[in-house]
Amino acid sequence: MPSFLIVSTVLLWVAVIVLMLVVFALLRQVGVLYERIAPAGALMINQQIKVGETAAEMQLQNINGGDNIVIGGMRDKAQLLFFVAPDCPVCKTLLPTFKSSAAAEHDWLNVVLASDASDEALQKMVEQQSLQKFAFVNSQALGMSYGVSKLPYAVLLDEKGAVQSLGLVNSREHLESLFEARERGVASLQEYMKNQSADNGVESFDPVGVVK
Amino acid sequence: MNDLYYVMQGAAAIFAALIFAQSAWHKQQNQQEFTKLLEDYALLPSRMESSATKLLICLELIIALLLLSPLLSIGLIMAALLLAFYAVVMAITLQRGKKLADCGCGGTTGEHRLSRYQLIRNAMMIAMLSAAYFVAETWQIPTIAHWVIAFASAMFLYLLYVVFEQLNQNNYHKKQLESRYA
Repeated sequence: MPSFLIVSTVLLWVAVIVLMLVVFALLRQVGVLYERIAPAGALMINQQIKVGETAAEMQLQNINGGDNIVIGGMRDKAQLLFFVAPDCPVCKTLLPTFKSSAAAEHDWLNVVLASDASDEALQKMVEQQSLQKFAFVNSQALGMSYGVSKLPYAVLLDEKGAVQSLGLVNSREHLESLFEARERGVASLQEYMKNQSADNGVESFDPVGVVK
Repeated sequence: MNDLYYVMQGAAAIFAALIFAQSAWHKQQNQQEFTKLLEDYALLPSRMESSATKLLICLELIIALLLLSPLLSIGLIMAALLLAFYAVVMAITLQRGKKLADCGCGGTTGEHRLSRYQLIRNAMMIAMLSAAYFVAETWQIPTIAHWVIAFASAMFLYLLYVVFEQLNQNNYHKKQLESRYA
């Protein structure tokens, strides 16, 4: 009898722990769903340059070597400027997303990483994050000309060098919202949602709140 | 004293050691964010925040080790005091109206928004550690079977803890969504 009780107790403990693990896994999935279904769009906070405007064409040195990088101007493909910094933790978490987007959209898009930091810090970042194959420019003037005040920030330029969409980017959804905005022919998903909500008679719908 | 009390004391100590070790690891992995968090709490002069982060990491690791060592009672007192200190800091921040500050206690579940829930949680943990302190000065668990039960109970408590943390986080996301669609 005592051995039966011991076995029974052990089995019950195992069952309790396994059930707790299952509960946690389910709750985690619910949490992930909440994060995923939040309406997302890159937050436009820019006062410097507006969608449709063209910033001056710039030629900047690629810190990964090779030819100088031309920002803006007429080109074959659209250009995505992704502003990051070595001491920005969110930028690091978004770099895998940036890499996969660069690979997925490469037939119509050239990507350029941009920063304003010391060369040593950037070289370290390039090595740590394996960014050697990307065009990477270090320029304070570039950030200023596009009015970048918070990071990570992305600017999508069309084939004529005009700003097509731009915004603070904190997640994959935000980054993809820039491409989505281009496809839908609007300046930003905020504008799209505003139009939609105006059509639906909803006045106070704000899809941007997820950006902290 | 009944062996069961020793087992419960052991479970409480192992559970608290896990929490402190996880918290130290989380702070170590996200030092920059945690330092920024201390800035948000705005309780320290700005040049002390980086040192305070390192001090808290060391303190939490020492407490985790003490809780698993023969110096159990010292570990229990220090753990309760640190939790009380955190509770006071969070209460002051809440009082100031900074409800959206991250409480810095995220481990496996990431960010946590500060609310009264964290204060209640800390109060419960302090009560548990205080009760464990009065059981015995050091480990008195008699047999291997008792150790197994103590470990299983500690695991159960830990999982309960992360489940409530996750529920709290889900609740925050749910409220955020509801307010957006309101």
